Amino acid sequence: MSQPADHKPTVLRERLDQLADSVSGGDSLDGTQLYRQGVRRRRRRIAATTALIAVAVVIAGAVLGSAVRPEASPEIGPGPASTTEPDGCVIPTRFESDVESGLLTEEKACEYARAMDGLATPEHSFPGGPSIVVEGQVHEDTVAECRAGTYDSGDSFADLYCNAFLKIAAGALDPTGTCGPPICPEGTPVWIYDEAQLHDLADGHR
Amino acid sequence: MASTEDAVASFVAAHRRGLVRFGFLLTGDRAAGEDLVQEALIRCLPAWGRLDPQGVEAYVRKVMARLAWKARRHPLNTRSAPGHADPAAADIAEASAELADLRQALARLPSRQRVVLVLRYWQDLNDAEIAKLLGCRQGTVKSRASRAYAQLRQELDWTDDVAIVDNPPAAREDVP
Repeated sequence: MSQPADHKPTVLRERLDQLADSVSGGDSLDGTQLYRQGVRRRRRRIAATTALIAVAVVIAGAVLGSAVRPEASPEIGPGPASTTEPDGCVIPTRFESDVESGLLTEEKACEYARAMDGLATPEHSFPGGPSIVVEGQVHEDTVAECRAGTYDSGDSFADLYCNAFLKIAAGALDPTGTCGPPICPEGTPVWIYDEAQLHDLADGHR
Repeated sequence: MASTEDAVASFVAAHRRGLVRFGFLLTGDRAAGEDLVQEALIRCLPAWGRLDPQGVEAYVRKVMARLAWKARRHPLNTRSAPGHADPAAADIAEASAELADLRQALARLPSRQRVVLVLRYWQDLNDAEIAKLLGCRQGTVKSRASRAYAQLRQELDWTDDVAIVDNPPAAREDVP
């Protein structure tokens, strides 16, 4: 934000300056607390978003009559920068810093990685069947940020999140809309479920 | 991770007063201003390591302005309740009755008008810069600034500040 020094001060500016100067406060702001609060919020966001996508994967697999098996994908193998856990789970680089920092447990990282890999694996065809979309009410703020291009999840999933959220928003607005990569193949019809219906579907297909 | 935590802590310690002043003007309320600073800082955390240390404060201020602009649709979770007594009121009342009137008039402005007014007259941004910052059209900035200023003039019965009308930041040509 530039603050040109040569601009003639105005009466209003002087009065605003005086007003701001007369206000004390800010002592309650603590950087350490803010930092920890930010970490907790990020942890919640990651968990909520991944759970949302994971549920979508489960239902998509169930609707198609085949379970999603991300570990079966030949494209998702342990790369040079990936970590292979004893149970065979591959923690992609994108989660390694979160695991190292304690933001995610290895188990959670594996769970999220499987869900994300399931989405990214183009092994399913969606022959006009319904894909899964959650009503986007709870993500209204995020959708607005995605539309404005200001959404920052703090990790490498921002594009994927935004794609998902925007598709959700589009579906919520237009029940005849379509879904596209990476959530589903281009042109897949979108069906709308509210959260309760989605949970029912997920429970019924597990 | 620990170094980021330390960096955030020292940044907040060094800049909180200036940021709270900005937040106070953007919201018209000290408690809401502090909440705005807090929210902006939390939103900046994921990008903290990528920010130029010299530009962190400007970045936080940008986020604050955007949050305040969007607060009309998504009100911030403030500690303030309608009709509450803002602690800043006592500070200001002690300073001068004129400032107390200005504070009340500022707080009564619609939030978006207040944001534009503060960016234009306190941060010295021109209409193009404000429009870019807030993601809106210049016409929107002009109309809101004009309405905000007119309301302030009316409420405060200002007649001696011709300079504001004659030299609006929007008229500057020196900023691209």
